[in-house]
Amino acid sequence: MPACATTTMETRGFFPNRRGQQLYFCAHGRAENGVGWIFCNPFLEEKTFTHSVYVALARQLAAEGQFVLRFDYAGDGDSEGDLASIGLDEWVDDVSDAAALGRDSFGLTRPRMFGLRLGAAVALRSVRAVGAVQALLWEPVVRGANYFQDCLMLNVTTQLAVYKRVMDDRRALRERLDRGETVNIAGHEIGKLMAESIEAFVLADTIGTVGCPVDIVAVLKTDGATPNRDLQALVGRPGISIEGRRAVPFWLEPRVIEAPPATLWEASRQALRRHVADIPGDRS
Amino acid sequence: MKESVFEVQGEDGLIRRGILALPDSPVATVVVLLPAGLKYHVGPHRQNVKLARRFASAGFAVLRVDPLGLGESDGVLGPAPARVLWRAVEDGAFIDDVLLACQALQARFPGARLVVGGLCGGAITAQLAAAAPPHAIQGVISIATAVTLSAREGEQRPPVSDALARHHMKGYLRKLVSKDAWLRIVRGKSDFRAIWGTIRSMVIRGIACRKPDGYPNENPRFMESFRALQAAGIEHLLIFGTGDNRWVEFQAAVLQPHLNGVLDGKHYRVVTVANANHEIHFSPWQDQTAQFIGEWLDRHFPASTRQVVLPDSREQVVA
Repeated sequence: MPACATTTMETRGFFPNRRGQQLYFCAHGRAENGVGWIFCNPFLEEKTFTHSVYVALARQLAAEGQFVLRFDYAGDGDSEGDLASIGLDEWVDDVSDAAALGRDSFGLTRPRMFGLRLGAAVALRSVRAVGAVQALLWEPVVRGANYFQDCLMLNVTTQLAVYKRVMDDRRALRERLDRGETVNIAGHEIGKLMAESIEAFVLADTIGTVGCPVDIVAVLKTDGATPNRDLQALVGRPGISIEGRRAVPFWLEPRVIEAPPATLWEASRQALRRHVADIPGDRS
Repeated sequence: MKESVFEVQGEDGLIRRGILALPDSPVATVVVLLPAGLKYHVGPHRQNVKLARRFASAGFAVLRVDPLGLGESDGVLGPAPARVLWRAVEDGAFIDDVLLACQALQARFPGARLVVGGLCGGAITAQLAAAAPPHAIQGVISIATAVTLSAREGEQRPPVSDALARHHMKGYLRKLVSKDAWLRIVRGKSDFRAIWGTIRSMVIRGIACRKPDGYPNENPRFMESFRALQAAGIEHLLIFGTGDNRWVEFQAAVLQPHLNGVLDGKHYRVVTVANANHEIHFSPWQDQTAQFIGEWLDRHFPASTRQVVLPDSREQVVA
C-alpha cells in the first residue's frame, strides 16, 4: 500500500474544553503569520468515513506552509463525552476552546474555518465567536431539518434490515427524543438537544450573519450538473462564492478511496487565492 | 483511566499512531483494537473508543491504533476502489504494522499479555497477525469476522454463495409485506444490485432445492490461521450478530464444515448477539458485545495477576 512520511511537524494531544472534557487535537505546523485553519468535523459516521480526507487535506495545506488545527468535538472521534445531552451550541463552544488552544500554543490569531456537511454548519456558527476571517464549506448541509430526517432514516433502515419491518417510524423516533430519550443513529445515541439544534439550522439564514467571505464547493454527481436550488439561491449574495465540482459523495461509504478528492482540492485552492489579499499578513 | 497519544516508528521511518488508554492500576494485559476495514482507529460508531474506556476502567491497557495509510498514521491509501483495499486487508496488508505496535507494547509493558481484536477487517487482521511468527499475541477477539475475500481489481464480483442467497431470499420474502420496504424500492433506495445477485443465484443456479455447498471466495488463510491459533494455544473469541451476513457465511463456511457446529471448542469460543447487524448499531447489542468480551477477558486474561507492570510516563501529552 502506498505510504509517505509526513513532512510537516504534527503535534497531537488532548486539551480541556470549558466543560472539563478532554478533546483530541492535531496541529499541523505553526501559524507563523497568525493565519491558519480550524477544521470542523462532519457528523457521526460521515466523520469516520471522511477522517482520512481531513488528514490528507491538512497535510497538503501544511506542506504549503499553512497551519491547520484539527480536533474532535465532545462525543466525537477520540474526545471525551457523548451526544445524549449536548447540541451544536456545545460544539460551537468546543470550536472556541480549540481556537484558544490554537492561539495560545500555535500562534493562530486569524483563523479560517473549514467544514464538510454538518461540519460546515458548526464552522459557520463559530465564525463570530472565534473571529474567523474566512470560511470554506464543502457540500454544506443546507436545511438541518431535512438532514436530521435523513439521520432518523438510518435508524429505520437498520430496523428494516434486521427485523424486516419498521417498529418505530421517524415520527415515533422524534417523539422519543421529545420525551427526553435518546435515539440511535448508525450506532450513536443522540439526544434532544442535538436533534433540535440540527433541525434549527438553515444555511441561508446563518450565512448572512457571519461577516466574512464564505466559499462553498458543492459536490456534483455528474459533469454539467448544477448545485441544488438552496445553494443556487445564495449566488450573488455579497461575500459568498459557490463552485460546483464533480466528486463521489465520500462522506457516505465510498466505492473509491481518494483523499482528498482532487476536484474539490483544486476548487478550494482557487477560492483561497481569491481572498489572500483580503487577509492582512496572509502569505498562503 | 488516562488516555494519551501512542506513536511507533518502523524501520521505514514512517510513524504508526493511536491512542493508549491506561488504567489507574498496574497493567497485566494489553488489548489492541484495530480499525474496522478502512474506518480508522475509533471504529464504527466509536466502538473502539467505548470499548477502550470500558476495559481501561476495568484494569486493562487498551491501544486503538492505525496501520499506515489510515487515520492518524503516516501515509495515504488510494486512490483505489474500496474493495481493492478491503482485499488487501483480507490478504494481511496490516499484519506487519500490528506486530510492530505489539513489539512496542511488549517493550513498554514487559511480561504483559497481548490480546488483539477488531471488527470485520480488524478481526481478520488480528487473527492473521496472531498466527504469524513470533506468536507474540496471546488472545484474539474477532467481531463479525470475514471468512470470504473481496474481488481484486479486474476480477468479477464473487457470486453470492448459496447460503447467503437463501438467507437474503427469506428476508426479501418477509419484506414483501412491509410498506417501508416498498417505499425504499419506489424511491430507488434499495440495493438493486444485491437483490438481482440473489435472484440470479436462486433462479439461474437453481439452488433453492440444493443443499448448501462451499464458498467459492472463501479466504484460504482463514482456516489455516484459525488452526494455527488453536495449535499455539492462543485463545480466540468470535462474536457475531445473528442479523449479519458474516454470521451466515461463518456458519456455512467454517462452523458446520470445519468445527462440526461446536461453539465452545479447543481455544476458541463463538457467541452471538441476537438480531445484531454487522456493525452492531443498537445500544443493547453494543452492551452485550462488551459484556461477552469482558467475561472472556476475565476468564482468560484477568486484569490483576502476579505479573504486573507499572505504566511509565513515556506517552506524549502535549496540552
